[in-house]
Amino acid sequence: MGHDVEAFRPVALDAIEWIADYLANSRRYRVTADMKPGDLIDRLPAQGPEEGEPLAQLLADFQTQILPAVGHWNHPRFFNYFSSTGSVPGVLAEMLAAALNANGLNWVASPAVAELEQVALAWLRQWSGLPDDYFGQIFDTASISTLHALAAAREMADPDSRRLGLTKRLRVYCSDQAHSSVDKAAIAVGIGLDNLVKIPSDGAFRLDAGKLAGQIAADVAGGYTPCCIVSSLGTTSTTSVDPLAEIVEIAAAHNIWVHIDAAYAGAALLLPEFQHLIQGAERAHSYVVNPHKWLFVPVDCSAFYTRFPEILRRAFSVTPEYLRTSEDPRAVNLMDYGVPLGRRFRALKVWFVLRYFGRQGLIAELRRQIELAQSLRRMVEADARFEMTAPAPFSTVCFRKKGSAAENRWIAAEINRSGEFFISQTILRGEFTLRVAVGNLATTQEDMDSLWARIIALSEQAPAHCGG
Amino acid sequence: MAAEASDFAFEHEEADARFELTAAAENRWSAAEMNRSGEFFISQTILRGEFTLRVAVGNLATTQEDMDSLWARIIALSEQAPAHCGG
Repeated sequence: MGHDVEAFRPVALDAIEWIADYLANSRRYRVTADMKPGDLIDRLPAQGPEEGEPLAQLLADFQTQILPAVGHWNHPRFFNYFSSTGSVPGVLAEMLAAALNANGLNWVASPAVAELEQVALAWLRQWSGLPDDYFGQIFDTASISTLHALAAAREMADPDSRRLGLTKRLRVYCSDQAHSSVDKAAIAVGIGLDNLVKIPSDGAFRLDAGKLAGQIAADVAGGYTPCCIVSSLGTTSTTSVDPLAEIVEIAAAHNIWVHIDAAYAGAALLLPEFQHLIQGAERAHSYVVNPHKWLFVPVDCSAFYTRFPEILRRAFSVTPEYLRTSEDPRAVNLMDYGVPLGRRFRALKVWFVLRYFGRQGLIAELRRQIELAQSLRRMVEADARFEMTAPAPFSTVCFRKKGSAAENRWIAAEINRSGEFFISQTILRGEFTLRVAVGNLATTQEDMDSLWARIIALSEQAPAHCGG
Repeated sequence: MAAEASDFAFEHEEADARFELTAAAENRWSAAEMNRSGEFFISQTILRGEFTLRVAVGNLATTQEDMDSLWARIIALSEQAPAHCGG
């Protein structure tokens, strides 16, 4: 039966019209879906169709049935998690990549996948001020990138582990603010949660290097082998930055792998004013930044770099005969450097986005968004009823109404219930905190002012609703 | 071609006796030539120590003509192979 490419043409043109209209007018939607869990499942047929259906019907049903259940990450008032934008060059590249359907499992399977990935990530590496010996590849998410960092660290600390499983009592370190992906990676590589030591953070939510050094010394004395330190550059809750230069110094004394988790804030390294945050990278071992977070590349796209690709290769290369190809050193087979064999052509969207904006365009846009967030910080600081709960070095602002957790919780819930904005919340040192992350290309100062006005209005109603 | 699965190895092909017990060098040369031309893209594997050609069908636009052309090309190459492989 095949597929009807001619029937695709008019429907695809309609879809492109819809996409352009959506990206230009996403404000007309609620940010969040107004539905109960299971609503979409209940609305759709429990069984798939016996006979095929026309493309035009699929596009129509996407609009009427699927769209109401979508959380609009591309909405300019989406301030939850790390706000992001799938920009037009990225959308275009995804369409083309889908048409090619290239699976870059090794070089020969589609050389463009392997080579463009190296080109695009080299550009990003240079723009980020990372040393030239950082070798890049793309995974889906930072969780998987960090998993590979821990696997390489394990290989370096316990080379027999690839064959035998762990033969040493390995330990991994991160701050108590590090992302939960470190926990998952410790589980997945067999090191175990009990051997992931969360070092207390200081008053600004940064890893306390003195406590780290003390813990490592105690562990060495206790017969453990320190294996990896995860240094956060922009933690999830507050975007705090760990003292990398001190961490690499501590690590060097014990030959410990240092992984830099810059999933969100790595984008800010494009700005010269943030370059000091990466001091020490020349002595670290691996680095992750997600272009799908704050570099306007559509999800999913995580850029993982390591100075020691041969250790990663030693950890994972198992090439069977049916995947064996020539030994040309320029024909890099990325399957040898990680768990996945299949590889989407994600490099195309990175290349498109980097070229579309250019380095200066990205710098200007990041500065604009940082200024939007800083405007909110100033409004918070100028209002005696509110307080900042953490420093806001980038585009993410944590603050609270001086009052009960219940009041703040009610404010967050009301803001999000309206569908007008979508913000997040976190707990910092036991205090319930509101959190606003800016990251959308279409967000304006007016959005920030409206958000603040809404928070003020709700804060004035809050005590009555919360028994205040 | 009586393949029931979309993947099959030529070692299991019985219709043409020339394709059993052929020297690994000849098969490797045939596979390399096939892929070098850019006209087709097939894979190779080792089965019980024997070098094997492997053809996987999975594309919506593949036709019987594509299969026939592939086979004709394999036959043509197999007839040249001994000369190229010292046979």
